[in-house]
Amino acid sequence: MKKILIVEDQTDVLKLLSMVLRAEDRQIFLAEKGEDALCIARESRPDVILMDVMLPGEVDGYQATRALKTDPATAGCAIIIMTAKVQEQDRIDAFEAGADDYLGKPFDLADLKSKVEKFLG
Amino acid sequence: MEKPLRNRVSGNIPAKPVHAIIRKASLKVAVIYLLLGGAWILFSDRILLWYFEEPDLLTRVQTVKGWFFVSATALLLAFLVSRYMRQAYREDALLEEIISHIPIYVFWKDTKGRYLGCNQRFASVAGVGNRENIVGKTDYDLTWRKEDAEPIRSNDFMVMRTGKPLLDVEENQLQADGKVATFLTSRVPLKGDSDEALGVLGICSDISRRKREEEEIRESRDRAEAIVDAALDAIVEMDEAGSVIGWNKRAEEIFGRSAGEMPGRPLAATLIPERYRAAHEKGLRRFLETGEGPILDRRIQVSALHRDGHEVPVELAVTATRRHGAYCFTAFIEDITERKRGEKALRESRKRFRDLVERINDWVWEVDRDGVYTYASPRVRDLLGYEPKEMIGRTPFDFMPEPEAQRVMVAFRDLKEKRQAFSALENTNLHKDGHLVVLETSGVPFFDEKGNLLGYRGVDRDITERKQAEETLRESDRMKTEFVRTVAHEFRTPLTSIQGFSELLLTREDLPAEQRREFLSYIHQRAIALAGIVSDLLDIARIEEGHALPLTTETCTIREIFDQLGVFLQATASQQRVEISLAGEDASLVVDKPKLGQVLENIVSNALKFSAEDSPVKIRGAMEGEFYRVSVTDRGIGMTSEQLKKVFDKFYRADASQTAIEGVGLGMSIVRNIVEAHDGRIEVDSEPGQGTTVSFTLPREATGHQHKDGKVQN
Repeated sequence: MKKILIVEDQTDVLKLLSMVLRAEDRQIFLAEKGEDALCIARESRPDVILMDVMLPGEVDGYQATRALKTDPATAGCAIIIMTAKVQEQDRIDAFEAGADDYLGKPFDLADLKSKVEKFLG
Repeated sequence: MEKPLRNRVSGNIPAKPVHAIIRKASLKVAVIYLLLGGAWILFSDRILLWYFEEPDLLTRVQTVKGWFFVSATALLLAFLVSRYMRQAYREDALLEEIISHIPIYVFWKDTKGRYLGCNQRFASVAGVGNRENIVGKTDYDLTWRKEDAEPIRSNDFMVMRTGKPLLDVEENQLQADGKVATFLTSRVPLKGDSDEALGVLGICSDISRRKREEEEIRESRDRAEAIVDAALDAIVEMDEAGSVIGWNKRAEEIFGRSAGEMPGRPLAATLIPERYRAAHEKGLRRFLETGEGPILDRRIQVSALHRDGHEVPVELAVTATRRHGAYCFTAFIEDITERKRGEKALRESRKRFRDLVERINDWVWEVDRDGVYTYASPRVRDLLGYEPKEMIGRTPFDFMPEPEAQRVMVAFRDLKEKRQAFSALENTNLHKDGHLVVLETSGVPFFDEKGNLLGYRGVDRDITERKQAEETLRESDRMKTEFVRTVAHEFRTPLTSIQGFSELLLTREDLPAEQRREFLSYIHQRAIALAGIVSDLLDIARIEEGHALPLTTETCTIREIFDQLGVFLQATASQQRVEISLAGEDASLVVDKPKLGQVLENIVSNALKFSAEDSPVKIRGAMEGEFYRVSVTDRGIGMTSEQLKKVFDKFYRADASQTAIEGVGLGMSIVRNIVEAHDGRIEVDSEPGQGTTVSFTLPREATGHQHKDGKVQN
């Protein structure tokens, strides 16, 4: 059973992502805030985390990514940064924070699936 | 010399009385002789008769007596003849001597024009050698040219014909020595006893030298006149009576009157403008009476009259000289029209530059080679707050804070060493009141005739405001870039949903109708959100161009305005956080209802966004005189005073790094424009960490600013 964590504050986008990625052998976790995402990740150790950058609350996507990647318990999770910020600098920021991949919004559903499946093996 | 000569030749002694006197004297001598002789005969015979009675003896004695008488008279006669002869000869020789030696030329001719004689002096110049040789010759035979001989002969004949003397005629004659001489000749006719013409006597004197001297004098006078005419000054002479007696070429040029028309004319009336004439005449009279002439021998500037009536500015000097016992005044006059014009032009040019220097917004200065101010235009007051005289003696660096003073001093030293001009050198200065002023300095070096640097001259411009404007512009640019990125980002978020759900709907036909409908509603909502952003952008663009927001007003109640919030609050599921308390809900206002809905939505959503999820947002509505005041209070993160200043700037977001908070940054800018378009006012109070209150007013009476037809009113 593969585990996917989706961190996204926009409810409709969250719904869209879970719709698209849902599959029989997958378990989907949802989080709307960075803090929630950290808790869920530490508990369930997802294989892939789809991480939005702009999040309400104290922890944004980059901070959450950095925290997860520096924590040995969760360092193994593949993190795909997902953001509407698509400048070159944003991409660099994403990888510097420790992301494994980067997905710009808006995106093709096929693109999304292939990136996620790449990390699911 | 001339007079006695003329008298002698013209004193015509009559011939008749001379003959009569001679005849009379001769008769007298004859009578005396007859009487003396007769008396002697009678007396001597008586004596003899007394002594000698003897007739024979008497006869003999009488014979002896007769011989004695004859001998005595013969001796007397011989004595007289010898004496008169000697005297006559001596007079002749004397006359001859005189004629030969007087320094004049004498000749006499017969009625045919042939020479009867001449003195030796004449013979010498006539080229005949000895004077006897001239006898019988005519003027054609002499040394002079034929054309000279003709007038001589015609003058001779005229004298003989008329019987009248012809005096002092100038005649030219080529002389034996080859020179042409000029003779002044006088002729008198020679007449016989019965007045018949016998010939002509001529007396001449050589006046060649006198002629030559006259010629020289004339030449010298002409030369002097030429010099006077060529003089750069007009030279005008005036006599005691005030009449013009001299007028040179330059005077003709300056005053437009020819030298021919001037002599004898009154100087005052032709040359002196009317207003000066009385003074001129008074001055002239005074000088002639007292000898005092205060204007004499000084250069004075006056105006003179040109022929055509205009006045010529002149500088003149007058000298008085005595000539033939009377004063004569000579004026040397210079036309200074050009000089005056030049002076005027210079004055005007100076004034022009002065005006420019003092009126331009730039401050004009001059420093010496040590950088010390030697001039500062009054404008410095506006730029640095100092009086120009406070600047003199100080250097530009005295007005700069450190380390600016050091930096500029070094820069100036480099420029000075290279004698370089500079422009737009920025430097920061301290105003007298202490605030900083950014100046832009330009200057050029100036030198003396030898090329030594004397200093710099230049201008300073206050660019403080420009610098601020530039800074503002840069800030605005930065904000714009930020804004574009934000807008793009804001677009991308709804687009993610729209693209994703529409793709899902297109690819997954197996979805139940209910779910399809749900997805479509997401797409729809997001499209509306996008439309809202676009509309905001357009509003901002319109405001940016200087137009007021178009209002479409209608009369509506307070409640109706606030009811618009309901939809928004439902959509954000925050009804429970918002407390609304409105006074006079049924009161009506004339407003653009949808736009006010936008205002409320903006303010309330900010309040919700910038405060904790469980903290309340209070909305109050209250009557306030002629206005209705709405205030929205949150207990959120609040704003610093810096942030507060910029809250109404377009594109401004409270904190760009606060990425979780959505918003294009247009909201408050548009809100203020809408409120002000309604003639209301908006204000924001905030305390960091305490929360924010935004309140705005709306007039309760419709004002002219609002239009039902929604036309734009500025």
